[in-house]
Amino acid sequence: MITSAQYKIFSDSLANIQDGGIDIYNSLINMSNELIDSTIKNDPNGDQLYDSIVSTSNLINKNDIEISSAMIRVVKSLQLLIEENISPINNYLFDNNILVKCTFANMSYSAGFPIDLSNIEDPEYCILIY
Amino acid sequence: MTVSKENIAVIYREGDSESLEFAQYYQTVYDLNNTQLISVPCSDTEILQNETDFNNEVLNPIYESLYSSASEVLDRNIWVILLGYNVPGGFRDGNDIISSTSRLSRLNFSFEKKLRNNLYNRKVFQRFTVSDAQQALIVSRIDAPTLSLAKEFVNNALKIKKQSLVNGKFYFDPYSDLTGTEADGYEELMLEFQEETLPDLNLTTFTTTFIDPYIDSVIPFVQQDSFVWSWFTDRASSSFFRDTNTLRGFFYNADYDAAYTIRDIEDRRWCFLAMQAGYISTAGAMSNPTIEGFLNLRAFFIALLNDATIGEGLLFSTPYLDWTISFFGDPLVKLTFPVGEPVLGTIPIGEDYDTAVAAINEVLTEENEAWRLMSIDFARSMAYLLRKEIETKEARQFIVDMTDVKTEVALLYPTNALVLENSENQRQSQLSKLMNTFIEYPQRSNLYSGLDVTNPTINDYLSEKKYKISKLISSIIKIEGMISPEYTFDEGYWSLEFILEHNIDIFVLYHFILEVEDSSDPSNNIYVNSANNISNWYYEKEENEFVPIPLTGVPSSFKGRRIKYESPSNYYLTRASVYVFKINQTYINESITDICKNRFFTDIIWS
Repeated sequence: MITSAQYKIFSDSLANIQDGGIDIYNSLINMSNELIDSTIKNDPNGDQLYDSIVSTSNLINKNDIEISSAMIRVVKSLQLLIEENISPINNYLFDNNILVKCTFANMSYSAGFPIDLSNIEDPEYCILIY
Repeated sequence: MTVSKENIAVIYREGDSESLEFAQYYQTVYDLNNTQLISVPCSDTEILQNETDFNNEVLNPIYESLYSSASEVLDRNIWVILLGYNVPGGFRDGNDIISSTSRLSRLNFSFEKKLRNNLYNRKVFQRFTVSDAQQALIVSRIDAPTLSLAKEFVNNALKIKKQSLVNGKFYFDPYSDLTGTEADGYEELMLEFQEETLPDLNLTTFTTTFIDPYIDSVIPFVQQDSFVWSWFTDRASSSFFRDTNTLRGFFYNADYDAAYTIRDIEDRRWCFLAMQAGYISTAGAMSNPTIEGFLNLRAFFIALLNDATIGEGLLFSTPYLDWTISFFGDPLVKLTFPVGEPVLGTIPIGEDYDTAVAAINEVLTEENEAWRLMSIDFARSMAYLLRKEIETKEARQFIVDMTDVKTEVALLYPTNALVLENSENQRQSQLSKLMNTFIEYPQRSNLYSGLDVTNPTINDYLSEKKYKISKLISSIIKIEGMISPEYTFDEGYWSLEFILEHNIDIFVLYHFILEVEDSSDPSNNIYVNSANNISNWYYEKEENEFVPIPLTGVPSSFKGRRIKYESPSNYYLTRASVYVFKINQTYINESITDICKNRFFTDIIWS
């Protein structure tokens, strides 16, 4: 069975993957800001470029910032593995002294496994969606 | 205990299927309990004729639902009320229109028109508490001309709820054409905010400037915006809000009737226009609140900076209750501000629209330099996408390397699906359209003039401008050899650009120390460049023109110009990895040697 140390590493890596979406999006936002703060915006061809950046950043927003169904399935599988073989997820985290990242807690909630605030890292900086 | 979804009640109109549908939609978004949805037997009139009607249709039924012995939410501590679709927004009292949100804040008390809010602008900030709730509740309203639009307002809030970071521009207009003691006082409040609090938000800011006491400085339009705080122009059109891909957080225009209606699709008052444009929250007056009744922006933003919800911020910034100011939007949303140095601009407005537009354009970057900077941002986004792909593969490998069969069976298949979702093909499909438009832009823009050749290829453009782009960009282009390798950076190349600072009163010559650290292991110092090594250092001698730094250093008179460092080929770093770059400006002046404070930049290797 997955060990508590492995659980922590794997849940953290899933959270990092999810968090990376913001960096992709912000880079495109910076790109559109560069355009708007430049003379390109006065060029008729600039409108097409701007529209393309906006539509791509919206796509990124949908694909990389929202929690995808594939990500939810991974998280759900992980939590089910624990609940079916060891104990309810919050008991498991508490018993093994595991604090999950805020992002992972939000993904877990979306997968149907809400995590108690006491089992989350730096809860004062955590904005939960539930 | 702080405000959360557990403390909210959503009010809907009894017998109104659309009003119920809206309440249930909000319930789904926040996963509220059924008991948190409360119906009231009200009419669908937006402004009721008098207080008696309001009490009978709205206030008393809500009070009964929350506080009677039969209440299902008695032990839930309802601190927040959201008035939903088709619920009345206020009632008339003489010449005034009292807003529902303001009156219901004092649900537990009898009506005392224009009563001073005891929670207003506390000098020592504190979050909303149980004792605060005994004095005033947080009440907001989401309503619209149609049900679908009302739901759209919730969806807008949902985007911010997921991301929370708002990093668009702050449009700020502290001047109006009003005169008198009260107007001067509000203007002074705005200017104090501009000086003391606005910089803490770390947002790019556009501010109007004072022209004449009888001219109302106005913001001509907003784009890429997240906040607007202005006064007093009281009508606008939807064209005021230009296209944006930033999240729009809060809009407020201090005037006398911005919130008169939010149900008229033709209306040109600010509250409806702002919500329609995607702002998740706004506030305004249903009738003249007097200038002393305008919201206090310092109190509002201090609350947001202290992690309060928008609902708390609005309550703490309103001087009077049982009064005319109405709040709109999702009261539970919190906003996060960016870190880093803000960019400040001014709009010397007051003469005419064209002058204002010209002022916004005044600080524009030259288009070729902008394209070069955009190519780096674009490459950066691709590098982050690549990093995501690498991380998903590492996660899969982590599962593969496990020895426990049960774990592998449970996790390998879904983890592999996650890898496929972030594959190179997916990455390319997300970006290929933008890629083509981006590469085509300089070719179209310089079709007949601008370069030595007409109808230039992208290679012609890169050659003449002496630009290179990331191989991550060129790799997406399907046409083999479209971009010559000589115009692409080597994989692992990195560079750093920053602004020269100078905060002392004497002339000095600056040198620079650079240290590069692994972001995941700050103790791992990968590279150090000492102050006396000027190789690979450049400074912006003329605008957008970089030349090597002389042995003597960069004169402090170049304050505000850019400094650039380009990596030597033997110190290339790993593509799609993130590093911390520490810069130290040093100077030697006669016998004085000093070291300025360190500056840190985090970046991904995008080449």
